[in-house]
Amino acid sequence: MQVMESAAAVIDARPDIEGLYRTDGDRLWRAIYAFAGDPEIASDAVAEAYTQLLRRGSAVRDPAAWVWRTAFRVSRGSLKARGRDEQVALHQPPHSDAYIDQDLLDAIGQLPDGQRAAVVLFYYADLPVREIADRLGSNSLAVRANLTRGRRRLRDLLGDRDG
Amino acid sequence: MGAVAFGTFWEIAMDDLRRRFATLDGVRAPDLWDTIGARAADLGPVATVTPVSEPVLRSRRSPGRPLIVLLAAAALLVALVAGALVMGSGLVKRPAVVPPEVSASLGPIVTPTATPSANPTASAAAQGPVRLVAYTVSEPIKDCQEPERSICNVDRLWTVNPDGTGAHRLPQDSVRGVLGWTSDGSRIMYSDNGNLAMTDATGSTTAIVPSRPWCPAGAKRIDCQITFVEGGAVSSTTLVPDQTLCPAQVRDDNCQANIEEGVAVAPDGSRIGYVLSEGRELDISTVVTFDLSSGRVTRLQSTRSGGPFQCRTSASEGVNGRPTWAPDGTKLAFERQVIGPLRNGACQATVFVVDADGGNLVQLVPERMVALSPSWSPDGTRIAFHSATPRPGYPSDERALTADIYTIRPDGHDLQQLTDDGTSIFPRWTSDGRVVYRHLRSMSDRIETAATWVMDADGGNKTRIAADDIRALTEAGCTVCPYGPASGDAYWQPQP
Repeated sequence: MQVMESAAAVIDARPDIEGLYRTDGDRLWRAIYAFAGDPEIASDAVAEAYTQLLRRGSAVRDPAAWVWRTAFRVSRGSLKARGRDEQVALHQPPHSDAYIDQDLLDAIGQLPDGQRAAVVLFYYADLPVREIADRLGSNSLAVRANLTRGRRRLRDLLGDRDG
Repeated sequence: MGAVAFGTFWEIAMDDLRRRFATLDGVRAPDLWDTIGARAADLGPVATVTPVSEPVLRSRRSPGRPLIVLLAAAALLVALVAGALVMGSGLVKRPAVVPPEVSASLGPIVTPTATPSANPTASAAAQGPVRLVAYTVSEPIKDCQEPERSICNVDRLWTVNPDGTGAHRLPQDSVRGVLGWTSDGSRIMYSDNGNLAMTDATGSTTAIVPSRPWCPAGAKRIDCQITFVEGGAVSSTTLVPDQTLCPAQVRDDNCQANIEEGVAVAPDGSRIGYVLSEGRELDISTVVTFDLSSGRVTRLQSTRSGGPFQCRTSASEGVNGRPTWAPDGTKLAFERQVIGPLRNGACQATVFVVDADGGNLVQLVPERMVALSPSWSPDGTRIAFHSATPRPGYPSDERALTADIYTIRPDGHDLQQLTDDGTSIFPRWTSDGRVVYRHLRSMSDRIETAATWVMDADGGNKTRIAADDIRALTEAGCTVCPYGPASGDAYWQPQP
């Protein structure tokens, strides 16, 4: 039996997806920005993820998790395309109306890809390890390993300033 | 204890990190909704094709997908030699009962039939109770355009009659592995994206262990509660976020219930045993029980687990997993991994037995013996496990491993070796007290290629059985056995 996602189903899902974007889109964008270090990559990844979510409509069972996973995947692809997978030089975002911890962003940018994603999702997105694994298409052990190493690396990088 | 001092040290540093990450909220994100709408309009909707006719043979699972017991454990064997830990996921040994308040909210339970049906609920009601076998199949999504295979596979719950007829796919679509049946056979427990969920055998009614609020106060999880209708019937699904299974007063992000690494249901159905990761670092591994009626969580054993790739220095540390209840419900056996260097840079693993209240911890096997995957015999007199040990003098790869099946009394006496081929793993007891296990041609083979064998409890009468023949597996007395079309093990429904 084939189940075709009709245009009607997509239209039906649109208000819910816009609601998700309105409540969660900014947070996702900031997480991707912290991960990728580039507001353009963040905007493209978030827009692409939500576009794909809209296309799939109700076929996606867990839209929040799906859109995060997709956005991280898209941003990771963009980073690799730019040849900057190992080290991310973070830029100041175009719109900043509050204090931004640039030292932290610089330190995050020095973490490897997996550690960077795990640390951002754990400390900024406030997600538990299992959910981070879901959203990165990884597993809990790998996430924990990346978290542990990322935290230690961040502590080393920020250590002097933390006193 | 030392763990407290360590935790305090980290908490100071980590609180500071949280504060610093919070400054990201000051970054103004652009409003992309118009861009999203325009892109979507350019592309149009996507076609999603979902196969339902028959299970798809063992397509590869997603990277993060749990429960894949054998695959994960195969990785563990390799990791033992490589000196790294790859922890296997656990199995349900015995299922549980849905707590009374849940059952009351679910409505009547319908037991499915022995014949395939487009309307399993109706025909089930007409034909009376039969035993079923539950398993998951990883199914590809046709025409999937995602570059990542994990997104192009979806796991599905299936049931089949014990004679192999009537394979039926349940409607649940975010399954990550069967965890077992409740002890009365009325519910299939499964992992729903890491949450503990239960469904009746038709899939039309899904419920959860309730007893705690969905989201801990102050939690920021954006999708911690999911309620929806599925299967075209009047049904609702509610899930247990893993934090629900954590002790009270534990912060949302300081505790993970690792249900996919083993949920063991007490024989009377009153409690489940599983393993938590706790603490700021989530590096405290705790064996707990959860009382299904009161919601009380009881810690049995807590150990500092350390990083997943670090051998700990003693058997009092390490990562706990795979709890299994004694048939009388008074004790649990569980494995503990990465507890100290062995040979070739590999880590140690062992099996413990502990009282259900946390007392009388006993290390089951001799100090230098690696022991994994414990399974309690139906009569409670013996525990089966496999021992994966590096061969002395071999290089550090999988050829250096030898793995055999053993049994031992729960008091740690009378160790018996049941196989001596060096490539036998994952023992499970049959209902009549024999042992089903997997046999590899070589320890470097993929676990999917393993043959399924059954033997007497003393190691005699070793016989190969067809892993893709449900009837043969049923006749062998399987309660939990590898099944060919399944992504992991299959679970036989307990007799009422």
